[in-house]
Amino acid sequence: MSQVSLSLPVISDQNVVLTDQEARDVFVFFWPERTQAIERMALDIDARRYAQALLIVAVDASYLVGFVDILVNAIIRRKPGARVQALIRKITRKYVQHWWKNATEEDLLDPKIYDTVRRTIALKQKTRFEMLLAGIASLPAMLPSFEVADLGAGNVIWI
Amino acid sequence: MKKLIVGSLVLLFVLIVGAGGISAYHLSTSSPVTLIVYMSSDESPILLRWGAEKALYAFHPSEDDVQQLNAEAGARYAALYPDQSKADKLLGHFLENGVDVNAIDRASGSGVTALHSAVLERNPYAVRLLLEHGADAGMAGAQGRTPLDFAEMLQDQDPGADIAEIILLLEPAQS
Repeated sequence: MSQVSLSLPVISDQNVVLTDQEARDVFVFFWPERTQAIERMALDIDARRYAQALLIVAVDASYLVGFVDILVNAIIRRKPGARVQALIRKITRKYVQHWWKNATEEDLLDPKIYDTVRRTIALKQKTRFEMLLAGIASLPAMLPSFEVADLGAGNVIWI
Repeated sequence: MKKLIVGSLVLLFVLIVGAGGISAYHLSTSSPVTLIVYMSSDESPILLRWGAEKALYAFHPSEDDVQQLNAEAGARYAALYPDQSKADKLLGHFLENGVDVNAIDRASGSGVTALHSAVLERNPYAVRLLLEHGADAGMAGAQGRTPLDFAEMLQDQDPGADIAEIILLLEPAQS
């Protein structure tokens, strides 16, 4: 089984481009069922960094999925809304090479996030996010890695 | 004309069988989490949901899956499955095949067990299910706090019937 690291990128303070409201929009994109709590939550730069990292890894992973996932997503036909698309473009405009392991500069001219990738990230990161909402733990600047396996079959496995 | 129709039907048959084969292979080699994502989405095609569920019980969790699930407190994916009637069966399947109900998530950075996750998600059903399957209510996570500690914090922050019920479940279990 091949393993390819898909780390949440390390984002230096000066490269955190999302505002508080934009970070909220990202969190709502991943966890729409928590919209009310997200609107009330306190945000600092680490939370904005986390939101940005989630969005980057979602775009990047969407260029890893295989044929069947592409087919499934074509059937689902659910795409990020205009606000999130604008945020994706804002992030991809600031091209920092180490953020992107799979998406090329050309891909990022028309970036996409597959819904199955979004849901996988949301499921994997739900506990971490709930801890952030509850103020139980602060987020470190260096976030833990995700990994992807079974690339041949196009299966995204987030660790 | 007849040849054209027969040829088209054969081609269609080959395409259907081919697509079915590729999909079956994909599902059999997908990770349990990927399958759970397919299964739990109302937007997934019915056939995909059905296939994902069959594949999950037929092929998973493998030894590699168990290792991975334990690295991320994977019992939470089963206990917190949106359809409660399926959560119990799924959790039992995971545990029978070696998933540790008390594993701590070291992969995503939360540093907690599935029981902590169920508390954080304010889900009394999942808490009860995990306790029934042997979850240790006294186990502290990386922050040194037990699930009951989390529940009491949440009750202070945002009181509710769900979290009160969770505290009632956890207090006797921890003592």
